[in-house]
Amino acid sequence: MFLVLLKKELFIELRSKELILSMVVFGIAIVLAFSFSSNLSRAVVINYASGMFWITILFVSALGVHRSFAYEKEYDAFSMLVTAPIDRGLIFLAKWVSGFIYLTLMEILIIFPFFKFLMIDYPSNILIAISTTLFINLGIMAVANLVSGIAMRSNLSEILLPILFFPLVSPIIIAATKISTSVMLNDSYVLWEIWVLIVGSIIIISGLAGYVLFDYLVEE
Amino acid sequence: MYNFFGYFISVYVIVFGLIILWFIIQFRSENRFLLKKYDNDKGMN
Amino acid sequence: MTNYFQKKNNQWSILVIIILSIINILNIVYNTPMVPDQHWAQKIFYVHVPSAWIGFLSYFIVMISGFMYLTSRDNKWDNIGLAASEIGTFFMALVLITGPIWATPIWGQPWVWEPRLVTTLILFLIYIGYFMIRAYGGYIERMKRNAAALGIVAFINVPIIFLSVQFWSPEIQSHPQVEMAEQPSEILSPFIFSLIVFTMLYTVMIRYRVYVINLNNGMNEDV
Repeated sequence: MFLVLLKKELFIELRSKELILSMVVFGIAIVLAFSFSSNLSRAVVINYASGMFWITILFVSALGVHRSFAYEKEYDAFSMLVTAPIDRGLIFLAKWVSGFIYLTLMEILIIFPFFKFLMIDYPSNILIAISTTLFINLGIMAVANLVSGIAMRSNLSEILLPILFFPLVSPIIIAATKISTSVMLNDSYVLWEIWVLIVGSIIIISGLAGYVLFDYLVEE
Repeated sequence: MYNFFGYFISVYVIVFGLIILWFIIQFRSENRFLLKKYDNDKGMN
Repeated sequence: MTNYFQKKNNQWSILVIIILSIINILNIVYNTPMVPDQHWAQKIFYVHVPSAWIGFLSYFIVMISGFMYLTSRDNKWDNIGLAASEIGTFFMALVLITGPIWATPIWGQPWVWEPRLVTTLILFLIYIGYFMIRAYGGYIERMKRNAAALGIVAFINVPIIFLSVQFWSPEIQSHPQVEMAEQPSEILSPFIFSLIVFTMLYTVMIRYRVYVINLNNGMNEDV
């Protein structure tokens, strides 16, 4: 059942491609704005690059999640999902995984412009950089989908979503910046182990909360 | 260097002043609701 | 319906709270020792820490009532959640005002990235969103469920937010609550007395607020 829901999410996107396209264009626009605002001074960019990257990802994921829930809102698809005899928590899981896939695709497309525009070197340990980034994506998307499940069907959803999302995601911003900076500097794992644990606990808590609460949120 | 007593007094005025203000606001809104309710009841009869 | 304070036991409770608060203030002003390098500023703690305690207690009650509302669908729990969130945000605002006032003379600058203060600020921001959900929530039953869910999500995030800010800026040590536990008894006992008085004040406030909310809801049904 979960796979059917996931296939539905991915299928909508495959047809229109508007979500990925808008996420990538928006992401590149933000990277451009960061390169202008940092004045391309080496000192600023080296210290702030990972922060810039995650801020870009946050803005883009807020946009993407809003779009992915707006589909349901426009065609009132939630009421049909609710009448279907499925566990509603699975809707959350499907949204989570599909959002994770979009975010990862978007990062693949945006990562080269990001490094080249800001003129920084790639991290030496690519494998660790990729795995930590995927892990953090999972955390961001868990919180984002949970928040948009709460905020989506209110009248001011496009304002409420960022207002709720950014405070709730602040532990991930801290952790992600610390982890990425450490990876860029090639620090040993012991130094940033705690941040991986924090992101992991956010994934577990938000995932569980989303799985349980969607049962009540999606209801008519 | 700092006027410690001034900070102390300002904190206590703010905290207890706002708590009293909260009670006044609640009391006024309660009275307004009661008055409206009274009018409604009278209108129905 | 009559005024809340026309009932005998409510009159007694508010009278007791007023007397205890006056005793509390006099006790703090005259009866507590001066700490050498903080002087009067140290006495800010006697209201600052109880305010923070009530704020977190209140948000805990929001979580509990949100949980109870989702399981029982009883409007009583929604009213309690609304009252607790309003009063909790009120006290959190007091914490965010009094914290920087204390920090200005002691730390030399109004804002320091101290974990409890930052956690308070983040919770405060989330609860601004909570009230926006309540105001613009659309269909009323759904709005109540969304608000209950947000109350739960906000509180279960508190430990993570706190831990992450603590590890983020570990160099900040000096904090009211930590210091309070190590204080001698002539400071500790007035502090605990103040904590009890504030908690009693909070119970009176929340009962009064629930009463006013009920009155408001009852009025809307009639019209």
